[in-house]
Amino acid sequence: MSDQNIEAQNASESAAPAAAAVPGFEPAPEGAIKEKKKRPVETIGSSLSIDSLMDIMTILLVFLLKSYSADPVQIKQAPGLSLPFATSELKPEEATAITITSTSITVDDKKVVALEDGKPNQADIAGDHLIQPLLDSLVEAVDHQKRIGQMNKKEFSGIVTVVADRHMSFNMLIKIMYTAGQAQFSKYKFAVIKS
Amino acid sequence: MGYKPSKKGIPDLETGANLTPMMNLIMLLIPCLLMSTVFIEITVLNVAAPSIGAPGGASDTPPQNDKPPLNLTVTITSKGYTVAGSGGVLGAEVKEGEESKGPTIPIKEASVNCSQYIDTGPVPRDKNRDRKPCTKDEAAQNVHRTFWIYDNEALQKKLVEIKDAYEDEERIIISAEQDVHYEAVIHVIDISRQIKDPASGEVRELFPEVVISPGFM
Repeated sequence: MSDQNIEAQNASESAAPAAAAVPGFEPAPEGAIKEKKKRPVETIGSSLSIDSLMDIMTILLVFLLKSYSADPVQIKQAPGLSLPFATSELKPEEATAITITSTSITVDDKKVVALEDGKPNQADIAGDHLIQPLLDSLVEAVDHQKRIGQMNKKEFSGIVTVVADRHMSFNMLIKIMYTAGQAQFSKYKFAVIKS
Repeated sequence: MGYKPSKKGIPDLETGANLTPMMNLIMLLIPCLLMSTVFIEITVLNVAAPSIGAPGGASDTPPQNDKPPLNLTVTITSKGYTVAGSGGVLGAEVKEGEESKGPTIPIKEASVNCSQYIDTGPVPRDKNRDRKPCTKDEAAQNVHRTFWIYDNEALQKKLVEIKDAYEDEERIIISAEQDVHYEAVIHVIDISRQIKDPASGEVRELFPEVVISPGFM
């Protein structure tokens, strides 16, 4: 815009008070006519549109719910449990899970044996390698699976998933495998973190 | 003839559903689920227990094969890996390190990336006891530190040699000393299952049938 135009605008504005000075001529208050013509502004629907945000949230929610339910092996974050790394790509299957941390052994989220320094109490051990409370709990789990299997006409798979801390000793691993073997488990799956 | 009824008093109905309660619910659910979800991929390694009396390995081998089963055994000790087979069957390269003479593949000192070892060190941990474990910060920054480690590359090389000589063998028996850590066992299972060519990405099966043996107890 040129300087001339701006000057012309200024000139017309300064002319208005001059017209008011003419006697017997009352100018209408400024904008009165314009306001009448204008439609009343609706303020109800003008808040921030959250439809797109809702879309994102819904997708995220579905994704999270799906990933939450898809894992057959639920690894709970525990202080004495850090899994070893391996390159395996086999997906875990739905099976009884024995979790061994530095302080306890749990079978399907039920604590069965307390450990001290990664070792079971001498009172819990029967014979050389058998951990009696673990065996009781595993036998119960096998019975349960067999009963469900009978209803579904499925044979007992004998799979057990071992979720163990990387610091567990080989001796302990043998005890766990021996006990699981006594409870008719024959296929072991060691849970690892894919590296 | 009349005028159209005035719409002056009727509010605009296109304001949409009230999403506030739904939003409240979602806003609570999402952090809850995010917290409970662990973003690490869990996979599994298949292992069989030694079956007493069942001729599992023997029946798998073809009948025209006169060779007795190899009984390839890797024993993990705190000094290294001892690779052995049933006597007189294996080539000399496997028999060279018998148990009495020390491990076939001794442990070595090497630079290790701390990223997999938060507040701990690599196996064998007994040997690394005098060394400071990797801290969380070092793990995050991929700091390399020197530790005693098992020579996994050498073991895998040896296993490939054995597989070349005994194509039909599928089974490997893994045993260990009592206080060897579970992580070391997992590493041996992992490398004895298959080998992946880093260049072509081609996977070669080595000994997928892993058996854990209590060994000398």
